[in-house]
Amino acid sequence: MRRVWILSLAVWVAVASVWSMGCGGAGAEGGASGTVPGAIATVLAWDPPTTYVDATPLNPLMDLDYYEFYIRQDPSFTEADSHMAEVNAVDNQVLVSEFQLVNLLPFLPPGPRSYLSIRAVGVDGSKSPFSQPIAWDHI
Amino acid sequence: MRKRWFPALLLMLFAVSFAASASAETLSWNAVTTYTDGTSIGSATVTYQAYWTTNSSLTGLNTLGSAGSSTSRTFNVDTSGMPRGSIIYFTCKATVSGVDSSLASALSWNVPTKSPSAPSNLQMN
Repeated sequence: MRRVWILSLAVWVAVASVWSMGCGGAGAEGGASGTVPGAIATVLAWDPPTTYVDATPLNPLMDLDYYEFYIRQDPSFTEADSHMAEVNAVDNQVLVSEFQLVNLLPFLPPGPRSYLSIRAVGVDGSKSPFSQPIAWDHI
Repeated sequence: MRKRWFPALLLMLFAVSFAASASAETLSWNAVTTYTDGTSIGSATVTYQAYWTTNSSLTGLNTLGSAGSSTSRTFNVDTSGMPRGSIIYFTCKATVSGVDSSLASALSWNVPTKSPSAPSNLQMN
């Protein structure tokens, strides 16, 4: 039992170590600053949309289905990009506005810096524009 | 003598157009000017009732606005209950002196979807 606990701790420390290398954050050309410099980021957070693109009201609890997560080596996201992960927009009638960054680690492209963007998808399948990208510095 | 002919509903060219305000659309059609025998309706008042339905056979009609002499109706997709992302069908009938025309040929329309705005304030914590 103790051995299992130690193993779990070791895995956690390893992930945290990778994280500390990978999430320095920085101001980015074409993208907003991802993190406070020196901080260890573990969560990607956002504000859910409350309007449609035509400015009419949107109820994110009722009108959103899920979010899509995109990663690129540059901040120029396009419709041709494929999303790497999804998360439901609502969980147990509570708005979802966070995502664990560790889930995106397998999709990091090579290079010291990546860019993240997300899109909201409505219950009718219509997708929002890309969010303002943010930079994600990593080794 | 009462006219037995129905108003000829020459509404083949009606169309849906986008009005200036967000999410408002306008359905319009050509005015009816003759009876089915080709004689002129003249100065008689013609009223129109527009409908929409999800059924291409024009059953289960939902009224679009109220009856009136205008040859267009402006409507809101959401308040009209139209299913976004689906095809619906418009039709219309004319009434002269209590006599209804047949329904106009259906106009199909793909009810546009509406995209959410982008999530904002994306950040890593």
